[in-house]
Amino acid sequence: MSFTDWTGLSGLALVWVLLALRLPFATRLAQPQRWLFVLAIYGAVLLPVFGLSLAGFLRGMVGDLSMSSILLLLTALAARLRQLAGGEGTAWWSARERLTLFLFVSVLALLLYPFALGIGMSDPYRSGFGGVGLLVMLALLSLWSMRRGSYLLPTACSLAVAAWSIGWYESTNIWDYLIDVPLAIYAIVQTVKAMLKARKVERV
Amino acid sequence: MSLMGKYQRLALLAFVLTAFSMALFKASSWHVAYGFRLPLAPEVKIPEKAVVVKQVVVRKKGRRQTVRVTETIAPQGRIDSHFASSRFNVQTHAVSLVELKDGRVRAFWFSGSREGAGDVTINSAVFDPTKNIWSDEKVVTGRSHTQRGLHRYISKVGNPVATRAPDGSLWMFYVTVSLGGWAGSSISMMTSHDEGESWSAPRRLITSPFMNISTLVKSPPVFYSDGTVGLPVYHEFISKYAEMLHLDKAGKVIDKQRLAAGGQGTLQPVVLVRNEKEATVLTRYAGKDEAPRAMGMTTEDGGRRWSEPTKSVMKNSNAALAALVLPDGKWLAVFNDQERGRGNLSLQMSSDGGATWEELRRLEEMSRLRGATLDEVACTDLIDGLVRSSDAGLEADAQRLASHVDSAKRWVRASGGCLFEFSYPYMIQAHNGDIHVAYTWNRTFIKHVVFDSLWLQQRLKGGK
Repeated sequence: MSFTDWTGLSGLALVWVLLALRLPFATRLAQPQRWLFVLAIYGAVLLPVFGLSLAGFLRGMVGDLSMSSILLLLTALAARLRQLAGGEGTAWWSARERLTLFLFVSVLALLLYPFALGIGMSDPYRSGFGGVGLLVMLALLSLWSMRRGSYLLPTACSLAVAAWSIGWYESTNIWDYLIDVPLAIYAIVQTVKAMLKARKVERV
Repeated sequence: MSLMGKYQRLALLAFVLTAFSMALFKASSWHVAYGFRLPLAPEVKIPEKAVVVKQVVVRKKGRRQTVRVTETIAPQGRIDSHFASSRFNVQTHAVSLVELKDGRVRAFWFSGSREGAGDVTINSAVFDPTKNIWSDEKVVTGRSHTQRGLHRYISKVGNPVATRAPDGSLWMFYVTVSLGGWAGSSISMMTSHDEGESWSAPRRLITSPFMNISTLVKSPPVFYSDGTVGLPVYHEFISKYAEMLHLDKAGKVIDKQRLAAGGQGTLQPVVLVRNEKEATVLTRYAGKDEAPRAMGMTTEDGGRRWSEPTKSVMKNSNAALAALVLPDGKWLAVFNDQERGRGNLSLQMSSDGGATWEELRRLEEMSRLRGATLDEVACTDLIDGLVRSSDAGLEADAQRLASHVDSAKRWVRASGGCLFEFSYPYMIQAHNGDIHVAYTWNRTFIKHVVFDSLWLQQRLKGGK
């Protein structure tokens, strides 16, 4: 199995590990057993049964998760393990930082997917094949975000472009390192929820 | 407020600057070349006229005399046909051809219990022109093999397209589906360094941001001036349109160009390269026009920009077509010359860049039967005749002939009637000038028609 395949499958296995850590059973485990439980779930999701693992099945459906998704999953996993270990604070990133990223991903998804699926002649996906313009836009956005004290967005963007630079995944397109469909759906839902909540607060 | 400390923020800044510097460095060396590379002109050997010396007995002044007479016999062009596939009672479809280094021709197609079934495999066989026979077919890959190689779920495979790679190896592209129908296809590729005898594990091409779905392949690639490859592909999810993938010499995607907007119904593009700068793309038409015609797009700057799609004069019944440019600039095409159905297949030539077409030969003609009611005996007789005329070699083997007829009957009489279908043509010109045409024959077999340059010349001179 190549490094690319292992990363692609591991990203999807992380989702299952996080879900498993939500089980009441997992909260009752002591520290060493919890780590063993995490490894057992990770191994089980990657274990081929009749030639195909659960992660492989999901990979066929949704493809590889972007670096942004993997970053969110890893930090969510770290936060969950810290929480279960009785540590202080549960979130790795502040709510504002997460919302900034979700808003960014939502806007990108709405700009990318409809046009990439055939509206008009212009295909924004094309700009991801070594497009300097896209990189400059992402760099400026990252620096602006850092200046405003929001660090999740620049971390995700930098991780994505660094992974693209070294050819981490099968894809040669920057967009595939930046966003993916499950993340886009999650981000849009979170953004809309945050906007509705803000309106509700304004009314009160 | 952020949860990061001062040193963490500095470390992040360093990471941001390093990551973007690396990416900009990579992007600055990203080069997509335009301008087409013309294929090598074939070495055509037209046989010379044969001179035959005969001794003829004549009477001269009442005496018998033997006189020597020399006769000049004009060589005859050659056209021949065979079935390339050899499995019975399966559905067989979507052939492509590639010439091997020794002059043989390798074909690829998919076959299984039905199109899209889990047991469908990509098969291959080799045609030896010196012996005029096809080898037995062998399985190249299938659903399970592809699934293991790609480390992801695959539900079906199809549409293999093979080409000679820039490094001399063979590449085979094919579509794989994990979810839904053909509109959910992605392209995978395999490499062979021994002319197709063995293949590497498959590798996935990532061509779409939306779960990498809906990029399909059907037609032969073209080459750009720097040796990179243009792979004509098409999109089917939600809307249908033609695209061009640009692959580097290692087969990695370096660009994707939209050749037509969604909703214009352009599928399965075929590229006709006229010179380094000019090319035309002809596509299957999947729109709702009452008088459906193949669509055409042109470029005059080596593929950098393409014109808006316009209707060509070629009838198109939402069916794939094959075309190529001959060394003298004439275009040769194989297509269903009808607006509905796929009951005929016509070989035509254009001397004016596709403005007009002249039929050279009707490769198949059963469209007149459309709507006719035939009983089983009459239909079987028709199939029997078609099988015999398609592959003369079967005459000597009654059992194989009967198996061919039985297999074909399963498709032709599937709806209870007598419906013939000839589709998905593919055409190449070999280095000796021979033209090889292969197509799906009633979804049952792959039929191969080969003719030489002399036959083509003789057809053009009017001797149809």
